[in-house]
Amino acid sequence: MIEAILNYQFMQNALMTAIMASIVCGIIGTIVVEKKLVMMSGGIAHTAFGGIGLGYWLGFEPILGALIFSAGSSLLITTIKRKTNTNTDTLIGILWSTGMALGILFIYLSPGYPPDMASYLFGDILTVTHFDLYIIFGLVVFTVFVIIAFFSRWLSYLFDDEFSFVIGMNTCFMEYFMFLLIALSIVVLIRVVGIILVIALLTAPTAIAKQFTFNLKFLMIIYSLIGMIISISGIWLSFYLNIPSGAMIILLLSALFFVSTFFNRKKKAGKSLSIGKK
Amino acid sequence: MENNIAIALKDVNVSYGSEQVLSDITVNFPASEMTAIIGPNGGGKTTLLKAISGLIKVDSGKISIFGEDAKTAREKGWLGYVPQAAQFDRLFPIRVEEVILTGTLKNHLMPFMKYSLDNHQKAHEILEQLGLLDLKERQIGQLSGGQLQKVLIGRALIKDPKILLLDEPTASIDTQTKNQIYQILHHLVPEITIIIVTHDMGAISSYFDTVACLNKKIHYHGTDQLTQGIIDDTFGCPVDLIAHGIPHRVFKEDKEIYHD
Repeated sequence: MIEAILNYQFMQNALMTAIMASIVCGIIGTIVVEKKLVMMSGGIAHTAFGGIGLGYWLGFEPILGALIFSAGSSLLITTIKRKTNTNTDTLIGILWSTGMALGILFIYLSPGYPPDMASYLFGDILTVTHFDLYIIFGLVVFTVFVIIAFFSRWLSYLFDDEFSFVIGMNTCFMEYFMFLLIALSIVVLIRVVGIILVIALLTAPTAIAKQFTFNLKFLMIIYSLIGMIISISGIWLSFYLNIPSGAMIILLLSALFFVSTFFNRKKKAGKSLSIGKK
Repeated sequence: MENNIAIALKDVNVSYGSEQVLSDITVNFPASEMTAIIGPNGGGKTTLLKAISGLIKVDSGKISIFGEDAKTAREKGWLGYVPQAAQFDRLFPIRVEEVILTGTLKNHLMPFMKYSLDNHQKAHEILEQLGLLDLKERQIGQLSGGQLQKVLIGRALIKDPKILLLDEPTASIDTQTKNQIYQILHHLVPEITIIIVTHDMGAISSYFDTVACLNKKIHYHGTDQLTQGIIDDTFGCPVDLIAHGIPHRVFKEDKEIYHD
């Protein structure tokens, strides 16, 4: 594979994307799991399909459309949740299918041959373009900076948003901002594993990492490392076995999850909880 | 006279949809006292605390905290809020000391902020005061309900608030820890005004200066001895009232509930 990396631009792009996506995934995935926003993330990801379709129809970069649609849907969900008492689950369900339906409509309206949607639905990291790479790089730098710079604040907000509000933090702003970050990182991940597989990448590594630590910072770091190892080995395997990379990454991830859960349970049997002492 | 009032509510109304939860609440909570808010489930006790702290918007009416509106009070760090320990996700990756330290956070944006040495010292003092020093490295999932409740009290205390609002701090906690918590709170008065939502009728006469009975409306508020009549009126059914450690039970016939 080393030879392939040196010789082929697409392999270099794929590896860079995998590393950056894993970092963003480690940070945002932890937030998504701790704040119990898994369904919400699924909804945002699927709404992005509408944006991809719009991009094909009007002839601009589909990833920009995805960015606009997922950011828009995340802000919409937050606003409606704040202003009304509508059940967010219901709302997410509606947005989920509406986004997909819009995507199908826009692609139907697009002139010429229908584009290959599989790379957006199931991800194809080997087709990442230079333009995608710049956008992903920008998003990763932004996300990492915002989270690390205000880490204590995020910790307080994630643990107890009501208390954070009462001691004078602007939690309304933080909530919107958090959803925006989730939306942005989902766009990054769509390039890697696709809309349909994104949820596993956002949730499984936390579950694995949580078996080793109960420190939010370490959790994010371990998560990122797991993501990197899995996605790079996923690319490597898919390259040699000629299997779609997105599916390969997810399958490796869930295999690791089940194996580590199994061994951890065995190890812990009979012992008291001693994790998280650090 | 004004100075002696910590929180003043005037004609406060709160509803969830068509359900009126608080109706025309006008009450002054005296400063430097420990006030208990009692009442039946669904009587609006938690809602009242949330309205004071600004977590719930009121439909109408005015709430002032030491003469200022609630937003100013929050920004000045006057309010300490202690939610119920039971509502927390115990698996959340946070340690006891970290929980306490989050209480020092303010709203101004300081990137890459680290907690100051002062904050660490203050956290240490509070942990010691609450008897939690040994547990400071523990993840919150490794605490008992009572210990977590104390941690939450510590988090609210670290910023020296003027008012401490507690939502059932002794719910499902054993008697010994319960008494510890009341003792700790009792020592904070008169520096801090304390308002507690509680179902703990036993503690009322021994620890509290003032009692407010709430069931959609304020039925009674004052420092006089609670009588069985007031309690029944609030709860709409007979309730045991145990006064001054001498248990006596007064059962009465069910009577018409005449609050609307």
